[in-house]
Amino acid sequence: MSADPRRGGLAVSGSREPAQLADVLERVLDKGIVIAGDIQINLLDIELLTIKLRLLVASADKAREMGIDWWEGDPFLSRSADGALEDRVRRLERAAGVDGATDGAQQEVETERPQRR
Amino acid sequence: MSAGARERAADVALYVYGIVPAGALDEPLGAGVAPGPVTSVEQDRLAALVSEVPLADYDEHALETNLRDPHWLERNVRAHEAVLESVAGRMPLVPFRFGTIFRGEESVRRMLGERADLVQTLERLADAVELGVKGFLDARGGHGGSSEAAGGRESGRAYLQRKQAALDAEREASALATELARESHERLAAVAADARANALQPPEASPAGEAMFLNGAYLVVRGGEQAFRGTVDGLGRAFAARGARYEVTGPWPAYNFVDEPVGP
Repeated sequence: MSADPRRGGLAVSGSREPAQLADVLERVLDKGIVIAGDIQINLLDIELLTIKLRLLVASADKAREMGIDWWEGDPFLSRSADGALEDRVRRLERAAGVDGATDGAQQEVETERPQRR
Repeated sequence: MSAGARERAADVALYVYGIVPAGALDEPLGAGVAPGPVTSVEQDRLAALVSEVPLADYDEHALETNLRDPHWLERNVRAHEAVLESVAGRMPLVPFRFGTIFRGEESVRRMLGERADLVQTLERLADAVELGVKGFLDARGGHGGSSEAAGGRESGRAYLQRKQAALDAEREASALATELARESHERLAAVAADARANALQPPEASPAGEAMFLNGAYLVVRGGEQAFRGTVDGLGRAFAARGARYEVTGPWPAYNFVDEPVGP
């Protein structure tokens, strides 16, 4: 968003509507130069998230207007999701031969919750 | 305002937003992904735009959790973009992907030293902006596909005919989308310094739920923006009758034009 008051006077993009979330996510998470920092971010996590978030963007905006937490009940995104994403990532990693998994016992357990909508 | 040799607390790291030429940033920017100001760390001809972030939010473990929180992600992704937008156009800029974090200024300087090639990237991008063009196809443009059976009972034959017509319309629409995408991208690339055709966003991502046929990014030289927008308008006029509609986004930092392979 270019109209951040904390940055008064510095924005040069001129007046423009706030960018749609999908367009921002696509650029900031998928594009831009990739340089390995000291702290590694799991890009696989990000890729899965981006796909999922893009699907949710339109409904997200509508839900927000109505004051609803739009990710509630989505086991893939919910912060309290009981490890569904980790499991999915580990399965993908194993399938890809990466195998970064450590705790073998938990991997075999399907923890995905049913959607409640 | 470089923080100089000031010791950083052990519980903070440096988040890097992008790279600009050394000396380009004459005063700190407002807050980015964390409350502190965005400053620069310089090495030779390059300067990294950085701000301190608490490791409580940005070490590997915290990130793993935070990345799954859509509120956190949206807020911080937008903050990353806002920092870059606030300098784009004022100075050459190489935007970084979200989440590039270093332990301290020494690491950032080492990275800048290793990536002296980015001086050329800055020069290449110095007088250009990225514009996005999205093309949408009105579903009714390909005259309609299937409508429900018009009241009452329908014979088996009528049902099959209706299904066939729907299938034909779908194939037609898909062929039209492919053709429009190619034609549009070619014409736009011809008036841009560089061009990328990206993966299409799903209909759910557009407010009106329209089908996207083009998701392009174009590097446009300063002063050429008007002419580029004129080309988009021309496409809109040329293909409106076939149900096409175009949307220009940006100017953006050149996210789509920085990730080149390094070295020989």
